[in-house]
Amino acid sequence: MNASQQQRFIHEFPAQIGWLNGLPATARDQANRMVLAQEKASLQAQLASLQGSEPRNPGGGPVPDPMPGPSVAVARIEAKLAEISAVETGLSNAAAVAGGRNVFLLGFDTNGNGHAIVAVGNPDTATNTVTYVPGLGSKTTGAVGDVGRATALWQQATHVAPPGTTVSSIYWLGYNAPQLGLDQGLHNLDVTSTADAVAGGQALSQFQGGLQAAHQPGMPSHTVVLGHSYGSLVVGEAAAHSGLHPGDIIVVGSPGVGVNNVSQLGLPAGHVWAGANIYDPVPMLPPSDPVNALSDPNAAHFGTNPATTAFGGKVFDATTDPGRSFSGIDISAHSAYWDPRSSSLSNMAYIVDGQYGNVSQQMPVPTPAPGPQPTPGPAAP
Amino acid sequence: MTIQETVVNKRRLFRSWPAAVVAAVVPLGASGCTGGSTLPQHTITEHQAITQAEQILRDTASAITPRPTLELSRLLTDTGPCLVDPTNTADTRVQVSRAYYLRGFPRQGNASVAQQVLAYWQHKGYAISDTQRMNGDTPAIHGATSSGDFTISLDTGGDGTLTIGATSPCLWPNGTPPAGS
Repeated sequence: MNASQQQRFIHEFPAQIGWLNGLPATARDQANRMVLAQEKASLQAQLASLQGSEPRNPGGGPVPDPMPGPSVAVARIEAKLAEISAVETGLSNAAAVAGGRNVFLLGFDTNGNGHAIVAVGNPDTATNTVTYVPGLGSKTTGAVGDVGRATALWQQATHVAPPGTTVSSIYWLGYNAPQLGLDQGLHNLDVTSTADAVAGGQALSQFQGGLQAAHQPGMPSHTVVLGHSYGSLVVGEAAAHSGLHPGDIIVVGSPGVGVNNVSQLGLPAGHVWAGANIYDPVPMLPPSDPVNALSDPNAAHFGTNPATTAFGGKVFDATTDPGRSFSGIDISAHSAYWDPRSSSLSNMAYIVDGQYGNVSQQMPVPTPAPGPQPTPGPAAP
Repeated sequence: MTIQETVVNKRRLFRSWPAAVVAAVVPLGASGCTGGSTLPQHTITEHQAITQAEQILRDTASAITPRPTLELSRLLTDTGPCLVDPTNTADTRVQVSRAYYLRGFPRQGNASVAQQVLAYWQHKGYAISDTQRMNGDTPAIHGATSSGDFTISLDTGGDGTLTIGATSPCLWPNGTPPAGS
């Protein structure tokens, strides 16, 4: 297919091209930015119509009929526009750091809570590529912070990378993460189930296969998959059951990866890394199967805690920002693994770059004070 | 047994499945996970943060003998989003980071410079959370200023150049939340 034909396909089928694993990052980026712009224009036109303004549909076609119940419809449209705005801000923030031509929108839609994939650094040419899978509560409205995390890891991994090597750091929200909230009803229990992770693991594995297929032949490629919180279960499901075999796996703040031993992930033990801040309550959640609580003293919610020697992987020092001054179990510790200038971020960067000798092992830190009650907070596992 | 195992075994947070559901789901759900926290109404401004970060780093460089040349790291200098909790969309605060490459001495001098920086930071009462490879040519130090506001680090870039950096706490660029937030 020549360049002209490629452009025709992108313009005629941007939504399909944008999510097509295995295509070059530049093609997916172009297609997804078209989808984003079209979706934004369509929603703005619908909003203007509902608010009594003169509707204008850039596509030239009829403006879709407003949904019944204008206030509900307005709220729905504004929520979708907020998702788009968050992705746009995430893209622009990353571009300010990495350069406009070095940030790629590899996936985008507003279905459900939204989906987005943003790469900081071109994965097709990168020496080292890390894909970050966020966890509970993730949706595209959080793209500013989540892309910020990916950018922070890109900065640090690029900083410590040897000259001549490059890094791509990807934020991957290509699955429906479980949500919590008063509006979620029984779906609040989704986080206790592996169902979202199973589906997400399959999508993640396919995405990673696409990255491999699109990577320029003959160039070295080291891939790392990083799961946070429930995202670590997605990674575990992908590795154990969906054929995901990256060079390294990192999990932080993990409630378990769905298996009891590193050998079940299909990677050498020295290439599965876990970081757990001792003040983070999520790795301490009890097993989903109460029987495991009796038979496995190292059980996490979904299998054996990967940050224990019993699991068999590597455990790195995940000390976070010392300025945070945690004095006991604190849900805020669950969101601290990307803290600027922390050992946690530094160690993840070394793993991304394959500089295993520089990764510091878990350091002794003070035992939390008595009174193991979690501090209710806004951070989501 | 790792520290994590010790903590898990001694301090398992929840002991029964129903308690786990209640404790893990309800508090987070009640907060909505997106804005349940109370954000500060007053912070230092972005300009003040840049000034303070510059002061921390230039004072650090002044404590090194012979004094190195400072070169701004464009890679590590930025004003980025506050990363405390991505799910909290109400939190539009930012963090200011500044970093400088230390130039003007051979790589073999990295250990000496790192030890001088560590001594200076300890003298200032800064909290040092971690040091690595302090006798080698790829040292690293992580910590925070004595007030705990700014995080600080020294590390070694991929080309062997020492770098010192400082990052502000999360702040409102103008010191107060934007109107309407």
